[in-house]
Amino acid sequence: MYQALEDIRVIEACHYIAGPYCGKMFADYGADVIKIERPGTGDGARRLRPFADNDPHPEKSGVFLNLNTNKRGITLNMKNETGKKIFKDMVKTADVVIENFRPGVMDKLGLGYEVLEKTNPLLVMTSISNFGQDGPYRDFAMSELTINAVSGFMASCGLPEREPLKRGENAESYQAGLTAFVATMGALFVSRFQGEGQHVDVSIMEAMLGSVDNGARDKLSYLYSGELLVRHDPRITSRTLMPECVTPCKDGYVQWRANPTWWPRYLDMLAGGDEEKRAELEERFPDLYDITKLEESWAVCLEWSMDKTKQELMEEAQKYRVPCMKVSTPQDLVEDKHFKTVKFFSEIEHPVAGRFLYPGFPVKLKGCPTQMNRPAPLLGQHNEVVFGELGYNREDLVELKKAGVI
Amino acid sequence: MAKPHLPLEGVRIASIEVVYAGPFATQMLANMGAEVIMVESINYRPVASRPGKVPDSSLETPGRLRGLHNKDYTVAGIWNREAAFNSKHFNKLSCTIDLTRPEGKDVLRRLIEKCDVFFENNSVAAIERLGLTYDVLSSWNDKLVYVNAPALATEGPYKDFIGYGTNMEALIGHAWLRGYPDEDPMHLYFDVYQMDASGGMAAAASILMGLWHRARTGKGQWIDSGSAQTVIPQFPEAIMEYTMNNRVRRTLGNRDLWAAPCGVYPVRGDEDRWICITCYNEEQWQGFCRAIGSPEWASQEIFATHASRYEHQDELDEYIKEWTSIHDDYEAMFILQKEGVPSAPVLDERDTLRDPQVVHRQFYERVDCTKNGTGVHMFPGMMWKYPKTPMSIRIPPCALGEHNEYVFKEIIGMADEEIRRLEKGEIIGGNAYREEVL
Repeated sequence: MYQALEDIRVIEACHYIAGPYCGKMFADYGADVIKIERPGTGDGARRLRPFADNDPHPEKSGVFLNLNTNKRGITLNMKNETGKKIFKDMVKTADVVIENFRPGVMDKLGLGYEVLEKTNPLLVMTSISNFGQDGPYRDFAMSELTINAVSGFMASCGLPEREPLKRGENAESYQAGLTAFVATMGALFVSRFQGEGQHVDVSIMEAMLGSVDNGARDKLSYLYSGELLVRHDPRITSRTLMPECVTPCKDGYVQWRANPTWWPRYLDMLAGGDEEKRAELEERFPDLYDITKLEESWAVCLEWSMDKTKQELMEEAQKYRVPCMKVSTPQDLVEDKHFKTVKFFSEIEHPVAGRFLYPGFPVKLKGCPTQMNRPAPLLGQHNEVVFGELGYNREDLVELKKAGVI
Repeated sequence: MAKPHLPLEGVRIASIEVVYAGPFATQMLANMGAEVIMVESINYRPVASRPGKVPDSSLETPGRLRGLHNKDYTVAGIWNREAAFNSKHFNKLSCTIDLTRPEGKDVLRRLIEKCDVFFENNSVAAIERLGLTYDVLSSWNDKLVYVNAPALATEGPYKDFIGYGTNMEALIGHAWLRGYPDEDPMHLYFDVYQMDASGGMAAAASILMGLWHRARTGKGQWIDSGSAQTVIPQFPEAIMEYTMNNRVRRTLGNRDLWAAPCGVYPVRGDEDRWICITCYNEEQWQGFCRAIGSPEWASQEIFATHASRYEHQDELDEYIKEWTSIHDDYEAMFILQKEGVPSAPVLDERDTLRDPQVVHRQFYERVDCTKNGTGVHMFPGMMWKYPKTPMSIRIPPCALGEHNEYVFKEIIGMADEEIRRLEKGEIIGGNAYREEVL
């Protein structure tokens, strides 16, 4: 059996999250991904929290370790003439170059697409940038927060009396990386089957603007109606007596979703098979739209909830086909029995950082073996083997190191 | 050499897709030139995207069906006028088949024989009930790339759990990791999710990988692209903080693990306008200070190092608000970006239409959709650019059953007589859905 992408070679000249996540998709599904880092300091992600053992060591950043599994890592100074020559030699053997420098940097280095295309006409070069390779914001800086800001969906998230709220963590940087992977795969089809390489221009802003869920839908919705989506308080917009929000339970919180057709099941759940109790509830709440009884109905729900853990509550609700799920903390997620059963998290041993669980594969290709067994490379770990493949011997490497090339 | 054609030209995909994540997945592939054929039911439509009869409660609930063109629930064909559908179904074709009956399933079989990919994002139970599992479809076409993309999973203890996006976001940990840190968690209900975005994009990725593998080996395969597991990898920092150090973190709100300042600040005027500012490092902080005129407060001891600024963000934010409140949002962005500071206004839907960068990049495309009764509008367009094989909105959003003749006649090769017979039996196309007009 072949891994899905094992006939693809990728050169990744990327740092931080979006570019390396694109590279990780290639690496985890079998491609040979060679990650280029700056000699000495390496990828800036090596300095990002959290660190294994809380030790801010460049080989112990959880961010870096996770983003660079299954890749080979080399160091190369791309500003140095020899470094540039080596880069071009590598490009000759590659199918893909992914880079996320600011627009124009690769051109200034003399390593722009026009140059690389001459050494490898089939090359797919993917440039991931904040706002695209041209336009008035071309050189603007970006952060996870501002990715959310320009997406169009943040304005309607959060409470009405407060500032708009971004989505959690760095999710959009990862989403941009995933988008770049799909864009690159598409271009590979043109390169492999039509014999034409090209320069793919991925703008993180556009990856957000066209995305789904209050992305493209609400932009078109606005164009249809002229109405903007506004922030609302989920605690006071309930239209029925069935909870449609987050509520507390014994050891945390659960999240409910209401739908009029599920009201009978919800009552069944509260009664728990007790017919007398069921009849009593029905008598107390004859009309699910009568929101004058909202507080009373919530009190019943809370009373039912408070002696159950979030796991027990979720399973009980699901037994009655009521859509309610636990609000998982990171710990709940890692220890969750479902994700354990499907073996979602993978354990990887790293020579410096140690052995612990990593998030696993986003999709499962059942006809291809997938392996998450190679930890992120140490800085320059594969210099000897990768440069060896290019014809440099050990003495050359010593010279290159002296000259500050690697 | 002839001009190259779109990446996936010649690839045919049959799709039974609902709501958001599924349509988003095949939208990417349709944009890249694949012939995506939606197989829709002739007698059932998911309310959120293809509304048929509109339940009263949907009209009352904010957020649902907000995208219906002209908000007119009485004119025929409302299923062709919802933004939730139209924004994710251009460049695709639609045919209608009753898959609950054996004759309908046979029509699907003949279509699948001519397809490269089958994609669906329904509940596992629905696909099992329809008898459209991998075993069945691969017996019809052994080279098929077959993709299930249910909300949760195709296997495991929660396989049959029911839930909407908002429930899933709680289960996979996103609800816990977003929200205001200083509000009680009961406000953590969002109708904006991450899972549809990750699920759609990852499913598109899985199809491309399946096709790539098939091109080399000649083999189709079964792909599990359950959305829940596509989104968990987008929160590795919090997960690894737990797996490495046993620390359980809560939401950071609008702040960040690494940056200070990092916040959303009010700007001049009383309107709901905001500017976001982030400094990841000393260089950006220095740029920030220069941009706002190097005020005295910035030289205080508590703001002297990045670590100290991270500690004292509340104080920092108060000072920053003073500056932002005398500027408007775009003005503040241009001042700050000139000094290399990551900053941007919070754009709403309207702002994205006139933002100079969006206009320059021609992100929105004009689409004539008069045939669906919605007229001519700008549509959110392509998410990346291929210079040699440019993508665009080539085909306006498909109306329900619009391409029946093409699919049944030209792809499957049915004779007119058979088409008429199946239509009469309400197996394909036909008039069944017209009766639902209010």
